Amino acid sequence: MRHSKLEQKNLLFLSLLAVVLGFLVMLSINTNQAANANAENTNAELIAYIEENELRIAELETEIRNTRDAIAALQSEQVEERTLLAAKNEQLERLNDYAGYTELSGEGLIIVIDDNSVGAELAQKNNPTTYNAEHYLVHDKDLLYLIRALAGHAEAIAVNNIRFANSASIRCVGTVIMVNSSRLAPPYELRVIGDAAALQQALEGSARYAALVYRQIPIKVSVSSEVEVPAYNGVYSTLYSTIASNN
Amino acid sequence: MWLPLLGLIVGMLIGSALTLSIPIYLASYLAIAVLAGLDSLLGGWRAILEKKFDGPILMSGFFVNVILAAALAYLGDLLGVDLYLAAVVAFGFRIFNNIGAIRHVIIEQRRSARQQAARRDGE
Repeated sequence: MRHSKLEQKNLLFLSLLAVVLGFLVMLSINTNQAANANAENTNAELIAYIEENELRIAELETEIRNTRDAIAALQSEQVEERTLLAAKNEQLERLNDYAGYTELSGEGLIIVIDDNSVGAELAQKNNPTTYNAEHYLVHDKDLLYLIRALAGHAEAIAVNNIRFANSASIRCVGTVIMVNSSRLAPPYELRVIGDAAALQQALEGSARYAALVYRQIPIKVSVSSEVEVPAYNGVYSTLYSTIASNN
Repeated sequence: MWLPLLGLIVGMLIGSALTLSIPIYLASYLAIAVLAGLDSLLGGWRAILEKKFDGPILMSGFFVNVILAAALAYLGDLLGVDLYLAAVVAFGFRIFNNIGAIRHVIIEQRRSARQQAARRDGE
């Protein structure tokens, strides 16, 4: 098909615009490809980031497992320690019992001893020249010897509600009997926990009991299934002794 | 007749050789501008075929449409309305219209050329 000169000029003009348009088309395509490549790079970065995090999560899970195992081992150790501690506590409680630091109750004897004030009055009236007041009083040694006689069968002893523990003392200051630095006044009540029959036998078999009976000192002995003995209030002091080493 | 198509290919080869690109956020504006340019180009081709071609009108139409289409898309982004879709629809419609018209003209021209040739052979 032949074109006129004007048509050819117009087509040339149009072709120039087509060149510009072609350039714009490629520019647009290049830009989109660059955007896609960028997105792919971003995706690759994201995938790498996710993989890195997955590795980190796996490491953390391993760490958690190890920590859980360690906790379980510690708990097991703790259980053993608790068992040991419970046994030690029980032992400590028994030792406190032996030391007199706990109130106790149980079967035993209640022995009440009083001064022979009636006998003393009569003797003073009838035989004033031979009258000896000490003969009618209860002395510290009387209580001490009775306690010593009972000690072999007794688990706990109290004198007028004062616990007679290992380091307890009975002494006489003037006309007053003192137990653990506490003053006592008659009547004296001995509370003794132990086998009641054995205690009674030990009491009645002792020379001091016989002497008290001979001196007509009133002694009342009763058996009880619920004898209560208070705790020891004093302290054990060791000024001169130390625990010997096993070496 | 096929010179504009050749020009388009040459332009694409140049663009391909230069491997230039613009910032990604401008890509959608450029795409709209390309549509506007294509519309103008096809309109020019149609005008040549229909013998109504006017160089200044085509030139101004090409550049003004390209710039306005991109500006319209940008305004749409600013307003939060997808105005570029409106431009795509409008330019798409015009492009298909122009292609249809060009097809018609080319077919008509060929048909009349064949008829003239047959008449000459008959004489």
